[in-house]
Amino acid sequence: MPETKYDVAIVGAGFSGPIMAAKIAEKGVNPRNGERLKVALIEAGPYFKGAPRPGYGSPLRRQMFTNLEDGYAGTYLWNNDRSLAKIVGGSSLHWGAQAFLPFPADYLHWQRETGLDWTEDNLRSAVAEIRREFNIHKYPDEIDTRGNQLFYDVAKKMGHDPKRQEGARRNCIYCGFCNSPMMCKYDSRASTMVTYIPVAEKNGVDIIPDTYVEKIWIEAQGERGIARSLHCITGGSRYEIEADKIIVTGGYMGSPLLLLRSGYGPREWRGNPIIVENPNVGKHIDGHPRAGGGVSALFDEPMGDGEFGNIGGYFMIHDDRADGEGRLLFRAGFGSSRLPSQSALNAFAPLYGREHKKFMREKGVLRTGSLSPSVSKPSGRWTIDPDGKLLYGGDHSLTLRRIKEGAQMAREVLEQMGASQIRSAPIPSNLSPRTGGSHRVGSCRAGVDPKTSVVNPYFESHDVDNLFVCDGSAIPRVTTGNTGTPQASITVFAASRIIERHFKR
Amino acid sequence: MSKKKVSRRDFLRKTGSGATGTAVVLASIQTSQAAPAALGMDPAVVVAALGDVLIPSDPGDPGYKTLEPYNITAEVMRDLPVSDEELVLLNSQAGELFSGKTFLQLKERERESYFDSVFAGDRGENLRRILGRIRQRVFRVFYKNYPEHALPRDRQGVPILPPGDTHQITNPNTKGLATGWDVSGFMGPLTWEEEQRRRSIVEKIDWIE
Repeated sequence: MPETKYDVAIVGAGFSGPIMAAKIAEKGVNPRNGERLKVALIEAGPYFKGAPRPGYGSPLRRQMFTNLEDGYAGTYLWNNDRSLAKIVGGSSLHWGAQAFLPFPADYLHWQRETGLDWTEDNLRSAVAEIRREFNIHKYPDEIDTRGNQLFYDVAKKMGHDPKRQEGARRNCIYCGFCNSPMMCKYDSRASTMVTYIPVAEKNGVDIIPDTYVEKIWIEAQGERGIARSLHCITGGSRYEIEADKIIVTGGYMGSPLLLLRSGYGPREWRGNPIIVENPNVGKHIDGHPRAGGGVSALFDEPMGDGEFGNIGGYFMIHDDRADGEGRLLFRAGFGSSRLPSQSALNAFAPLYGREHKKFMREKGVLRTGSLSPSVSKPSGRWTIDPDGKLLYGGDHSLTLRRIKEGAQMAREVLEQMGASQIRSAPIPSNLSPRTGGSHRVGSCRAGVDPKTSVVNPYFESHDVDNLFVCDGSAIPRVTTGNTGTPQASITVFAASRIIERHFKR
Repeated sequence: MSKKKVSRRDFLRKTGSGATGTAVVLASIQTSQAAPAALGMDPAVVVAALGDVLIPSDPGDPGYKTLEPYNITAEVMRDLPVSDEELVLLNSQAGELFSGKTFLQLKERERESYFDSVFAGDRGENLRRILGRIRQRVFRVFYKNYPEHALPRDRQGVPILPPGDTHQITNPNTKGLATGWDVSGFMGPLTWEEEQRRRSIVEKIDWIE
């Protein structure tokens, strides 16, 4: 059983927790005596330890991350949700490592949504740190496919502004398994496991894996509360970890559910009695909804040789409003190989029989590609209902209009590229409460007004002393692209703010 | 017929050999799963026949049926998002096109015609959806390299590597059995030699020690 008294306990060792732990342990001190802080980083999943060696991998992780579709990867997920990883390193171990650092509109949207001062200037050094630590750079031209280059030329000629995708990788050998999504056997994908965990350990952080935090003990003080300790379960044993400060980094689902289990949330929540009320816990969840509209194409000739997996590609952005609402993000990829189980279900694979086998044998997937629009600034929001399920709501007219426009634009580009067949995924007439999505944020959002947010711009709970939330759930609006690197940048920013206000002598 | 009762040599000899192969398949299924009386047929037999049309086997060109001695149909049915009643429906509805014959009673060409009709939506959206789900599951199982898609693991879940392994190479595919990866020319998780070849290329373009 771990020690039970810490200066700081961080719950969740995924994308944000290791960054927070490393920064606080490295830079923070006990303000009372100037001594080094005692920091615990608690994670429900396992810890596959090993010295990082990007491009090669460490022995245990090479053994565990098999790149096989044997179903075992599900062991590391919460509720079998591919976006919710339960392992030290969390979703940073199985994200696509496509880096979309915040765009100017993203900073403006954070300010406009809840009055935050998370400006481009204020986050500049944090973003620069993540660019450096995650080795974010454009994919090299040497691994580009013929189809991708054709897309770039055609889109440019048509007046679009295609850009080469940036990746967060170091010494990637482009095996292509990571877009499956499988964990990186070679420690090449930028993850907190290979970047910040070693720093955290070097600075004395206690990493406590396989430990479920059932609840935070919040002591009521009138209408407010004080976070005192964590009720933990390790291997069936229950115990308590006391901490002066508790930082929740459990992700967009894990964080609000922990707060709700702890009696902090909306009055109407059933289950544990509410100790401290805040109607915003588990609400306002923004993200990229699955609204159809993906457009794929078949070409007469291979668009790539399949040599370097399914990595890279291009993207382009389209706005029709000055404020960036309804923004479209197009992702382009042509001539890339896929796992056989994915190729077999390609939109252009024959339906059955010997023709299908021929498609597989001749790697027909290399003659295909897609230009998929998504509405990256949608009009809807999810909430977590009392059963812990996500419900999508709002007026979706802007989202649906834009996805239709995006699908048409994509089709025009693919026609100009000389595609022999083009197919569009259907676009629903409306989005339902069960609409899924990705890159979700905002379930404990930050803001200046306690009536509309859970934490303040310094990541401190509005209502519970000694309690912080700083992960994707604190981000009030989804960013233009994947939220991995923006979230990592915001966590670096959050750590500097927390150290400045709480761990400085 | 269980996997233990068919030696790899026997199995390979029978692979893709027409009627003999079919006999092996049906015997395998019929002994492993009794036909539910209430349905009047064994759903596993229907799935096996559907799998054979989806991924046919020919001499020298193995397919779905080739893996029946390894219980591929049981694996497909383990997580098949289609009910037994829907399988019965898919089997019986062939009668509308072929004078009352069930799908199981059709010859190969007729079975393909039935597939064309169902996929075209001529037999209704429900049948198309049912066959689409079966197609998805069969392709996923076959092309994830069943039955060589997993490594044995110890009690802690750590994969057990082959004796003498020094580089944690986790590819369970063998040369002795033609699986989905072999059919599609996919090498699976990289060999150490392939890793090194790729490193030697990437070291020249995008490498930081």
